[in-house]
Amino acid sequence: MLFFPPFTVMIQSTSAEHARGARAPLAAQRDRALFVNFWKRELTTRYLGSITGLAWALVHPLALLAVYHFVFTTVFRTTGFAGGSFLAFVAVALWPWLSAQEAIQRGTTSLAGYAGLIRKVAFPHEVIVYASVAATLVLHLAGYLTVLVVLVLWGEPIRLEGLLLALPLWLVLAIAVTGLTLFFAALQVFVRDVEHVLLPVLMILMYLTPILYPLTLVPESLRPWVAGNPFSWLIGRLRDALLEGKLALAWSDAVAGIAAVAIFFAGRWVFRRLSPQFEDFV
Amino acid sequence: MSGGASAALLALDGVGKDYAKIEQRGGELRLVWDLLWGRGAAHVFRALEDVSFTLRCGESLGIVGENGAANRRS
Repeated sequence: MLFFPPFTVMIQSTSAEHARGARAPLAAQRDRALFVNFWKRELTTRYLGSITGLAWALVHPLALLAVYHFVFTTVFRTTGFAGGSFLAFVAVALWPWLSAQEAIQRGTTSLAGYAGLIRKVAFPHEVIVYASVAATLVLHLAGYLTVLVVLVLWGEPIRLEGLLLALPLWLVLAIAVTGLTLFFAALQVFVRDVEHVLLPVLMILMYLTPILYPLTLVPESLRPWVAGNPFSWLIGRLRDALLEGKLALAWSDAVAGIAAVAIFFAGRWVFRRLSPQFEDFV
Repeated sequence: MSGGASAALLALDGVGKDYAKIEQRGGELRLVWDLLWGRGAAHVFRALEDVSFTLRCGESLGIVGENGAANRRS
C-alpha cells in the first residue's frame, strides 16, 4: 500500500495532460516530479525492511576494504603504495568503482521493476534509469565522504582539500555511468543476457584497473594497456587529489569531461531509439 | 464531469498496433539492430488496423476481440 500514492498521482497527471495536449514546459515539470518520485522509491524500497536501512550501503564496501586490507597487508605484506598507506590508497579508489559497478548493474535491470507501469502508461522510460543510477551514486558518495572523514580522524594521510577536484571527478563519472547504463538497460529489455555478461566483465575490469595495486607494480610492457583504461585515469586523478593534494587541472580532465558527455548522449540516443518497443518486451 | 454532452473526451483516427515478432533464436539482436537504424521491426504481427472512434462525455464503450487482439491496451 505504501507505494501506491506516487503511482496514482502520476497516472492522473499523465492522463490529464494528454487530454489538454501538454506542451514541453509541462512535460519537463512532470518528468522532474516523476524523477523525484522514482528516486525516493529506489532509496526507500532498496533497504526497506532491513533493520539498519541505508547503513547497508556503507557495510558492503567497508567489508571489502577490510578484507583487502587483511589480504594485502597481513598475508601478502605488499608495500610501495602512494602515501605509504594501503588503507587510504584503496579506500580512495574502491568507492568510485563499486558505486559505478552497482549503478550499472542495478540500472541495467531497473526497467523490469516497472514493467507494469511501462506497459500501461506513456511516460519517458529513461527517468527510471536516471532515478536508479542517481540513487546508487548518491548513496555511495555519502558513504565515500563518511569514510574519508573517518580515515582522516584515524590519522590516515588523506587530504580533504582534494575533494575540490574529487567531487567534479565524481560528476564526470556519474555522467559516463548514466550513459552506459542507459545503453545496457535498453539492450537488457530485448536481450536478457546483458546482465549476466556484465557481472563477470565488471569483475574482470575491476582487477585490471589499478584499484588494489599501484600502476608502478604493473610490468613495464603491460603498463600502457592498464593505464589506457579510462577508469585507471579517474582513479589516478582521485589519488593525485586526495592522497597528494595535487589540485591543478590537466588537459586530460577536459578530454574526460567531453568523453563522458559523449557517452551519455550516445547511450541516450540508443535508449530513445529502442524505448518505443519496451512496452511489448519488458 | 460538467464538460457538456457534446465534448469529445477521446478521439482516435486510424489507430493501429503492430507487435514485433521474434522469428528465430537470437532474433532479438536483429530487432535491436533494425530499431537502431530506425527501420522498424522486420517481422510484425498486426493486431489492430485503422481504428477510428470518438468517445464523448457520458458514453460507454466496450471493446471485444479475440485473445491477443490488443483489447487490453485500449
